[in-house]
Amino acid sequence: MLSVTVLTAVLVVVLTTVYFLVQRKRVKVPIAIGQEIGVSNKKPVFVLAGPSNAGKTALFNMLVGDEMRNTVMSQEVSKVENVDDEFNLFDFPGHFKLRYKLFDQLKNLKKVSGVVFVVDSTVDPKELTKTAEFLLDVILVTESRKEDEIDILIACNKSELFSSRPPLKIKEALEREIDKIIVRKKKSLSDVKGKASSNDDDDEEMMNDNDNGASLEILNELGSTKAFKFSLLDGSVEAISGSVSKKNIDGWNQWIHERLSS
Amino acid sequence: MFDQLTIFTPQGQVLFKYNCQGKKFAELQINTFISKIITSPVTQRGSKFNILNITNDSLSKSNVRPFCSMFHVTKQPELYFVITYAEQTIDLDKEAEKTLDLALKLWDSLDLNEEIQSNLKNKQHVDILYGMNEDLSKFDKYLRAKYEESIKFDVVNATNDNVSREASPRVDSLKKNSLHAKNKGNNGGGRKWGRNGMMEETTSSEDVSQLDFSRSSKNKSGIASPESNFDMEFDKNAFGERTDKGEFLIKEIDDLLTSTATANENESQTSSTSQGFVNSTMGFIQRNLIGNKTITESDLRSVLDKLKKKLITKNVAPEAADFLTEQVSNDLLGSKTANWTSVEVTARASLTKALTQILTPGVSVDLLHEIQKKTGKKDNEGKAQPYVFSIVGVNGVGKSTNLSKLAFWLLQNNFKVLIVACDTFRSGAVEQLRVHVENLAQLMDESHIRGSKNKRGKTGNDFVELFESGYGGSDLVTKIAKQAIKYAHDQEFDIVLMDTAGRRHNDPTLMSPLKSFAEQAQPDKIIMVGEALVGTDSVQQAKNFNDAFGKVRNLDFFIISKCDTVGEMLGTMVNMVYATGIPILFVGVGQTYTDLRTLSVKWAVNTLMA
Ligand SMILES: Nc1nc2c(ncn2[C@@H]2O[C@H](COP(=O)(O)OP(=O)(O)OP(=O)(O)O)[C@@H](O)[C@H]2O)c(=O)[nH]1
Ligand SMILES: Nc1nc2c(ncn2[C@@H]2O[C@H](COP(=O)(O)OP(=O)(O)OP(=O)(O)O)[C@@H](O)[C@H]2O)c(=O)[nH]1
Ligand SMILES: [Mg+2]
Ligand SMILES: [Mg+2]
Repeated sequence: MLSVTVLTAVLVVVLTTVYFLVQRKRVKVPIAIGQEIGVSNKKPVFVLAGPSNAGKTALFNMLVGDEMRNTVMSQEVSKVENVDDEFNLFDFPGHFKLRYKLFDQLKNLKKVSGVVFVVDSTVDPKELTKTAEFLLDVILVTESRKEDEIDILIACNKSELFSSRPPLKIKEALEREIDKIIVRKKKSLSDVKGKASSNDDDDEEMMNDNDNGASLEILNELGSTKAFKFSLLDGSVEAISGSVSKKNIDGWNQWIHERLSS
Repeated sequence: MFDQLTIFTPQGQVLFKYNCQGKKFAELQINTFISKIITSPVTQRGSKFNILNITNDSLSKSNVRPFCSMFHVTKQPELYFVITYAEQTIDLDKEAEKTLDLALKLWDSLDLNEEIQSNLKNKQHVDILYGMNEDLSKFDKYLRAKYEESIKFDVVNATNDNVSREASPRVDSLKKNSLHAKNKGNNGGGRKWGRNGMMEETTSSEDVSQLDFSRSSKNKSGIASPESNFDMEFDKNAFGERTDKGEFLIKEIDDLLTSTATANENESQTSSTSQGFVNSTMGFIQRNLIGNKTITESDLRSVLDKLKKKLITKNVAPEAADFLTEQVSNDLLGSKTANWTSVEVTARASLTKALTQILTPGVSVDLLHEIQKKTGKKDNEGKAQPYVFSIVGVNGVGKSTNLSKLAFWLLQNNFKVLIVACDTFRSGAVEQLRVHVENLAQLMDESHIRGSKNKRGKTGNDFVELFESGYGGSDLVTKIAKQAIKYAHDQEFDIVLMDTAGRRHNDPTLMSPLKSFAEQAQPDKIIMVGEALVGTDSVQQAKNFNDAFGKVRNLDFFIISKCDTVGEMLGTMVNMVYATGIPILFVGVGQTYTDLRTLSVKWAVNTLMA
């Protein structure tokens, strides 16, 4: 009995030491909260993004399970690995308050080959400002990833509805809106700069600071030319219409498959 | 009768839906519920489950009726069980509670969670409902049967108690209830109502409701007890003349429910006895070292305590800190730590997430765009309505100063700004504002001579002007506000900025005029300034100011001032957003006109976690 206790005591001491050693390096350890987010294979990653109620989760179900299901507003990201044994797919919530989840992941996810930015093509032109704002935020992240070019597909969903508008019109409208937003962004008050925590040697923080700097730089770059055009970006931007509810997603599927080989 | 019962995942997959009224599944209602949960996660606690009231002010744009919802969120897997119903009444609350309770128990009894979990683990079958059709339809069948059989009946019964006391007001709802019951009785395949019962308290009255009621209550006499609680094992004999099939179904359900209840008891007993010394050592190692550990409540307790203390040292109010650590616990309980990650590190990451989520605004606010939109709409004289801000807050927090900073930024964006002295209360307030206007006029035009009047004979110049009307009571305030807006329209100012008197949030005589002020002036944005220094009281401050404008109007956003003076103690930010769900747009970081910044959530969260 005694020996067991002693043994365990020794064990505890040893392990505690090791524990503290490990703790010091903890920043490098990837952290999974709730659902883990990375992918376990080397296949390309596609990300579904876009405003709420555009049909991302519906499309996700269609791509993954080939069927239209009942969906409600997403609060968490969905992930599926090895869709058709070819790629990994993420579906992010579109609610404004939850977009940070997308931006965090989009900065760090490896092997992102494309962002499918789903929009509801029946949306009132007046509401497009918010959509454009979101798309610009996505662009600022994808363009700040210097190593890789990330293409964007504007998937104009719900095209079967009679009030839907043609993809080219939507793309042009978004382009115009983004141009105006860039102008406004440059006029808005700047962020608080982290002075309270700048003397911290936290790796993560340094990285984030750089990220913000990078997107600011891009914003300046984009704003310096006459008018914003999607063609100025490193990645390509294409708009294709489709309809999840009519199972008409061939155009988008093709877009994804074109990016599998590279 | 409630509206619908929906079970869905946080990812947005609907697992089950039941529209009680036999209507089409109203997804919009559920989305409104989710949206509300996302933007203001602090909810009212009912007797057993959470209750969330969706009132008119949160429905501004959508075409959904106001409704009430009762919900429960399970862990492992995380699932939302939500019941929506027309309004909060004793009866409906009770019905919702029983139905929710039944749904949870049935879900559990049918082991649906196990199936979902194994589907989630299986990387090949991505479909979380894989192979569950049969059990789901069983769930559906059982739930409906049991609901019709006991819960709905209970409610009809309970309604009767009320009716006998207060006869007329309930005619409508009662009629609907009993009519529905009758229909079911007539065409429902499964069962038949009994005919032989007599109500103990039947009152002979010509009142339609009474008549209707007795018809439906006759159906199930025997078990009518005034407080018939929903009981899993009710008296089966009571359902005298039901067909065999119906009876069999109910018996089947009850057997299922009772058998799981006992099984669960046994389980919890065995698990609690198997705690040994070796186990706890292993637990320690896993908890702190190797990772890949399933997090339990005891793992979290000390870690959460530590995090909570830390938050409180940063000026986060205890109730807000409790809320945040509870979010962490909800997030982590039952989940596994990553490899080589301790519970503490995992908990910190989760708290970072919770803080980020609470501080991130729920809607995007592009002020310049909104202003341009409004001032771009010209009337037939070619004039536009000005965009109106009013600034409220407790005494001395920095209302006038931050209003001037806001003015400076707007002036730089080529807007013409009218500053209105609606603080007619504190002596010197108007003079203080005049100094600000002089300063701003000089910043816009170096040749401006202090004290000189502009072409309209007012303090200021072409860009910025002061609108003043001396000192007086709250009647004067509303009068000034209305005059100023008209003046701004006539003189083609783009922006009206109204400074108001500082007031103690717990003094009703000072707070109540705010409501009529907002109704009269109809500001586009009501901004509350809160100072970072204030600490715990900020929860109540924000609440009271947000409530001061009545049911149809809220604050639009906060400016948190004096952030330069508190170092890392940014807790006030969390407190005010926690209390109201209203976002922070700007922070004040000093005493000059350029010391106004957009809030960076990342910065605030990093500072709070440092
Ligand atoms: N008419 C029509 N409706 C569609 C189509 N695709 C999806 N919907 C509907 O659009 C609504 C929203 O779909 P979701 O997939 O849940 O939306 P989401 O983009 O995931 O929204 P968030 O999760 O809030 O970001 C649902 O009611 C779908 O049934 C389509 O092609 N045509
Ligand atoms: N350091 C610092 N001081 C500030 C900030 N904002 C305001 N102040 C100071 O706080 C003091 C009070 O500011 P006021 O603008 O007069 O406050 P108020 O809310 O209008 O006060 P009342 O009208 O009396 O209720 C002044 O000395 C300001 O300079 C800030 O962001 N940082
Ligand atoms: Mg979704
Ligand atoms: Mg003042």
